[in-house]
Amino acid sequence: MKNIVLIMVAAFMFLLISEESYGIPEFARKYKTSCTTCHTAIPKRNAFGEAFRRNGFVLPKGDAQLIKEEPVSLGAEGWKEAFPDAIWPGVIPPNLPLAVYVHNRLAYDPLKPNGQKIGFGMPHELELLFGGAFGNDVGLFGEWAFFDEGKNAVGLNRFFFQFNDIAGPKDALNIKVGRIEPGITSGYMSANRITLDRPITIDYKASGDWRPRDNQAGIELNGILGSNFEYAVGVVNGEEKTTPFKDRKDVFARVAYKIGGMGLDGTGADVELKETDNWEDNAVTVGAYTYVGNYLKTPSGGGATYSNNFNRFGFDLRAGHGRAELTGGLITGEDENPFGNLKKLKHTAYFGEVDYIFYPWLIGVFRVNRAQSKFADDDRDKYWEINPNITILYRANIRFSIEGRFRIDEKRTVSGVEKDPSEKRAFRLFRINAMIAF
Amino acid sequence: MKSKLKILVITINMVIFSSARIVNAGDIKGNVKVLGGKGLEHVVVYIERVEGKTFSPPTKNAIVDQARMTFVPHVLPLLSGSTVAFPNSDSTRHNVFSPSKTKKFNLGTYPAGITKKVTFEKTGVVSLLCNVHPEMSAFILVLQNPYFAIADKQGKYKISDVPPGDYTFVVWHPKFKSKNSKITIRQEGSVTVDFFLDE
Repeated sequence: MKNIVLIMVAAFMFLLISEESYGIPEFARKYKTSCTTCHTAIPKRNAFGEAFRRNGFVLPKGDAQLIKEEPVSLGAEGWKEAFPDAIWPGVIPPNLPLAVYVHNRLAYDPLKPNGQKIGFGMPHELELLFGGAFGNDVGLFGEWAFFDEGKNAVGLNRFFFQFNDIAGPKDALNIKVGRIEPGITSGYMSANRITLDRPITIDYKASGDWRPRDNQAGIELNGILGSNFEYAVGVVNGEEKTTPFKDRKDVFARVAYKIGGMGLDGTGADVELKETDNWEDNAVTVGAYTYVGNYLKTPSGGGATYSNNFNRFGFDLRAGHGRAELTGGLITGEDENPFGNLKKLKHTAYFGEVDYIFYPWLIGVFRVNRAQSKFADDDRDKYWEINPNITILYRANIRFSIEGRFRIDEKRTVSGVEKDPSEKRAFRLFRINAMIAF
Repeated sequence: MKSKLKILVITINMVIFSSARIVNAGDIKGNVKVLGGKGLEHVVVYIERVEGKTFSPPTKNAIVDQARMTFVPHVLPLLSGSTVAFPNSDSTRHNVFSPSKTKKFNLGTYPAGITKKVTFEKTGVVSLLCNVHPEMSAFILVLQNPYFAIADKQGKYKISDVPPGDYTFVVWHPKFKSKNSKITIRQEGSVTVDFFLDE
């Protein structure tokens, strides 16, 4: 009872905070449109929002006529005719393109000791976002965290430029440079979700270090061919916490094909920006990817530095029909020497998720994750995880989520002996979250 | 005498009638829309080419002024052979030039109160720039015939007295790809041609 009262008080506080923080983020300001033009519920993007992202944060039909906040000209268009005797003209945003994301959170963790089960994270996360485009040719996105996981965490998460339409037909070749989320997650990017937890295929640290969604410094070539085929190939630094610098870089590639619905490049989108019923995209997209990497690690307790080569292969699926969307993915791979003892670790993780839009402001999500990893003889991970989520859009830029996490650990074989899981309780976490973007 | 008078009357009638038909030749009217709805007053519609005819340019010069760091007007369609005066009505110096193949020129830097002139013979689009103020921009469309119009702020336009014939009718806007439509102008009446520019 005491817990319920606390939860209700916290929810009321969120409402008060949110009311005062009403606002619109940078892209909405630029085009004078609602968040729902590009998002089902922030930060999850709809098909149009995905086309906008792929196009380097430039509207699929080009920015010039739909920008309401006139950019500052760095030379009229006619200067293109004067090239190479003049600098190619461009524009910059009229104001510094900044937006703020805030998560306020109440978490109930039954596994924690008494007295620490209920925690306020206010803010749980506070980020400054940079987003803009310099004309149709160059896009910019950055993410600077001030608070993360309820703690001061000043640091750069993502910061990259995308140079659009480098060669060939429109959208055929773009170059992304900077600190990026590798394009293998393009089927389900870290920030493209409704839930607070992420699907396991982008979040799973099989060997405790590298995971697909981590931002890394590198270069990615990507593009769309014929509106339906998407590719991305890249080179990145690799796992940076254990090996900030190394000469051997990680490489990745992903291809995807979309059948039906809006084209990956935005083909078929309404010519004017649309603010309602944007979630519907009756289409199926399937993707396949690979990542080959290496990291060097020195054990925290001391000892010789060792090298781990690893690989991943994965598939992703996104299928939309009316108000429902089904997503799924599988990632599998092998780490040759993840713990410095020359024992190979093989692993597979997959998930399935259903999102359903009951009303434009009320969305339900149900996700099931599965992780399994194994040395030659012993199991390492073997569990199921379930995330139910209800999200309410209080305003287009303010959302509340209630989310649970359930986990079922299975029996594991360790040194030839089958052992019961150390934790048998399935209910692991309950959270109420208020997210505000302005 | 009576028959001569009758012939004279018929001849006069024919002249009047045929003149009236030329004067009342077809009109082209319509509405242009553009993605985002901005800049409709910069839309130019024109007949690409009228075969077998030449047209004399107007004796009066067109004007592209430079005022408040802006070329006025931003878009100017004109008949081939026309001369444009470029006064500087600003308080600062300007340097009108064009890098366009249609008419490459550079008038040099000149102060307020000075007017310089350029004659445009070759048909095509001429970008006007200022070497001192890189954000300044304007366009001159040099056209083969006088059957053109600039749309109003609502995108409406009308071209009157177009001689009968089959033509390619073009819409142009500085920020969109041009589109065209095949049209037939008959002896009388009007043709309606609407456009939507979105790329």
